[in-house]
Amino acid sequence: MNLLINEKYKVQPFYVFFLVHSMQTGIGVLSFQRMLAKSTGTDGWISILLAGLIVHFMIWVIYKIFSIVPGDIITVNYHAFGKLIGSFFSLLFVLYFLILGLTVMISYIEIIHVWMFEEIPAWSFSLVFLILIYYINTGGFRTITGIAFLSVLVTYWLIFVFFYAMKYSEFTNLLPIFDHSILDIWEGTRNVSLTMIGFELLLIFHPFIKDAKASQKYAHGGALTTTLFTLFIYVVSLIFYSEKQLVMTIWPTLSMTSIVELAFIQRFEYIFVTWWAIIIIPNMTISLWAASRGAKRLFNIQQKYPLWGMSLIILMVNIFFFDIDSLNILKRIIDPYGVFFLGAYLPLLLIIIHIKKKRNRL
Amino acid sequence: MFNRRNSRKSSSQQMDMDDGINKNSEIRELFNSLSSSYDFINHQGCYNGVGYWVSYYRSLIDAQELHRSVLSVIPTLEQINLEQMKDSIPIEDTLITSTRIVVEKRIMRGHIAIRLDANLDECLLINVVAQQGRQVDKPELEFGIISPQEAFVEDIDINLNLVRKRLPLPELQVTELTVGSLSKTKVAVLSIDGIVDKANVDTVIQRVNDIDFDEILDGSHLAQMLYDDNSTLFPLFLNTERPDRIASALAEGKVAMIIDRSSSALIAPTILLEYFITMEDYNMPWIPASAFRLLRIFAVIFSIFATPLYVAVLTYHYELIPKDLLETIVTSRNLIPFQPLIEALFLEISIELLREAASRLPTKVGQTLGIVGGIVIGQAAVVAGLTSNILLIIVALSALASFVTPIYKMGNAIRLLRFPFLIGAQIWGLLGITISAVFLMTHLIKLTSMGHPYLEPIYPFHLKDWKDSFIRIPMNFFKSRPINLRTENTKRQSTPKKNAIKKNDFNE
Repeated sequence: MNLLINEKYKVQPFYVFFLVHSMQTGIGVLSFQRMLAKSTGTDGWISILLAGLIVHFMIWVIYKIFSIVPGDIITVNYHAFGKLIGSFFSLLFVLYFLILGLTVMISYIEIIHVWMFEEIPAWSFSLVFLILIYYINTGGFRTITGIAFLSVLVTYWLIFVFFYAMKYSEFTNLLPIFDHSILDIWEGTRNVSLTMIGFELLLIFHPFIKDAKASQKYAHGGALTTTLFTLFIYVVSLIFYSEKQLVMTIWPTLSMTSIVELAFIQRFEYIFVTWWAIIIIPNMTISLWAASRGAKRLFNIQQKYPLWGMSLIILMVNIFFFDIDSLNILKRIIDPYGVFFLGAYLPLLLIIIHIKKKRNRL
Repeated sequence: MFNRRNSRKSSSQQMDMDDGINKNSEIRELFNSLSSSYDFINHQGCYNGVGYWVSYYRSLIDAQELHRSVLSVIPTLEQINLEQMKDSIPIEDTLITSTRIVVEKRIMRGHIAIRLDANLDECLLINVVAQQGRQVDKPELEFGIISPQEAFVEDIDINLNLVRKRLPLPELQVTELTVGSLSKTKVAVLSIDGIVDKANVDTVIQRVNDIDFDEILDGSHLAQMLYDDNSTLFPLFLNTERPDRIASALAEGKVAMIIDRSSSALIAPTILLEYFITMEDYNMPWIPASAFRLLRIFAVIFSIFATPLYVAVLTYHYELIPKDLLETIVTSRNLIPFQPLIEALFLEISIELLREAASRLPTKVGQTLGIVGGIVIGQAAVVAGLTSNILLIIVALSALASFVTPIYKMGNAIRLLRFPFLIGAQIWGLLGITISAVFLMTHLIKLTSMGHPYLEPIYPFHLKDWKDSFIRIPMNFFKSRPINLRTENTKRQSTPKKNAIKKNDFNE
């Protein structure tokens, strides 16, 4: 269950910043405001900061785990629980990454359907995305990192949209502060979880980082950037919409872009939605890469076979089950169960490994 | 003619079989078989009662040199033997041998063989090869206004001379290899010892040696066989006809190849952005140099995306266009019976046609064609209602923009890249273009040139190498050689002296 990655396939530690940040930023950023506004309203920023804090703790846990047992989550599971139970948990992770990739893809296709092309069947989009994902995956982890890195570089200009929206803002919407109970804030933290997950891919790509220990600060940096970015978007949404309006808007970020009007371009949301594909593609790619790599490590097969299998599953889901309901089901799986699984399992794993290590020494 | 070639081949095979049994008659066999070609001359002479044979390919040697330095020297000798001749003939590249392979190889390279009647198996080989070819001329493909006006020609020695004059260093190493079982093309691999990463030189030499092909006729031809990835539109080795470009690449720590009978030399490893660099950029102050470089990169992006964007916007997203502009476009398009893709393809293909025809036609006719094709057809197409004025402008501009790349092969890649984007635009509009762009991005990330990433310094990200990429910053910042080349000596200039730092303080 040990693994050694050739040095030439590893990436520099600072790319972890881009991997974590690009993986966290994706579909959630477009729509988290509604649920957050519903539960926490003007105090949503506290929930976001709290969620960010939890993410930082989880990243710390992940690095702590790997400092005790180097490798990836499959190695760690094996060391912690032995072959059978360890493999079971590893399989859960593979399943989780697959569902994550599927959710991201279906959510994006849904956005395309609503905002751009209503008639084009979902499976055709997913087919093209899957071919692209396969193409990126054949380049190995370096190519995946490259796509994540470039996607961050070429999409950050979109942030001007939020400054543009500030022209129409009403700052008093930010008040009142500290108006909600701790429970409300906790509920809000749960609601932003979909925007915050993505860091857990570290569990799989950790061995691909050159000088992995040095990369911890970059991982934290990525998570911090995501937190601040999310916070910024939420604050802008709060001042741009009224709270009641925000609760009724499904994709507040996207609706905000409609306001942009340049000399030669109107309906800026078309550009925003298409450009968002560059953010979404690394999301799907990294998830599916992680899922297929987990399967490869578990069953000792070539990575292309699980990748084909998973692509086929995703394609089938898109052909037969694509509708808003399936998306809701997927989001439900991710939201309470996936997030809970991560939040509970990883600290537990750390404790178990820690105990095992102590015993071995004693 | 083909029969003759075949019969010669079979006779040489036979000789191989006889090898070892009767070695000396091999030479006679060789000359017999060579004589079957009409341009092979066996001249018999006699002096002081000693008969001798002078044998050579009429078409390979310099007859004047033969008369002046060989035939006219023989009567001045006291005694006729090969040693004596060798000493008296004022040519340094001579050899006395009776080995068949050596004799054959040298005769094919323009040597003459002198044999005495007394011993027909021993040859004196004298190099009197004809130096034919054009003079060093102005660069045609990579013309530069503020740069040296010298370009490579088809002769390896002249080309090496052009490079060596720019780098008068004992460290400039030349390794000469031969490739092509029929063409026996000489390939010189150049590098500067102490700067270049030895692994790169070894890879080049190994890849050249690994080539098993009968005919290599040009540098670009060779380059394709050395590529890391054969199915890519992008050139992975930079081929240039500018000696100054080769010299600067060598100084950066790259490996250069000069190929005999080809005026294009090769540079490896290369990066994508290198193809948008002209040598002029270094001959101008950094601000205009950077501005023009950015212009070139913008032009390339425009060239790839302009027409697809037109198709995407007019097919799916006309809401994007503000209504004032939309009016103009609608007026220009209202008589056109086709959808934007057909319209765009029609124009794109006709421009490609013009370009292809213009590059095949003689210069004078080409100009006429440009006028007829560009102006007449374009205008007629608009008047006839086949395309819109606006698209005509876009297509013409993007064709123009694809010419700004200093390296012609990159221009070719950009020419073709437009079409997948066009198709993407037709299928899913802007989304199609975005997805195609991510495909392109992935392809570029995956590409390597001699194992070095092609998209460097963008990815892998090396901030230090950005000094000479999208922009060129002032020369005094050029402190180190590119990181991706892993050069042995990274320092390009010593740190500036302290008194060089100017004191201004508003002129005190």
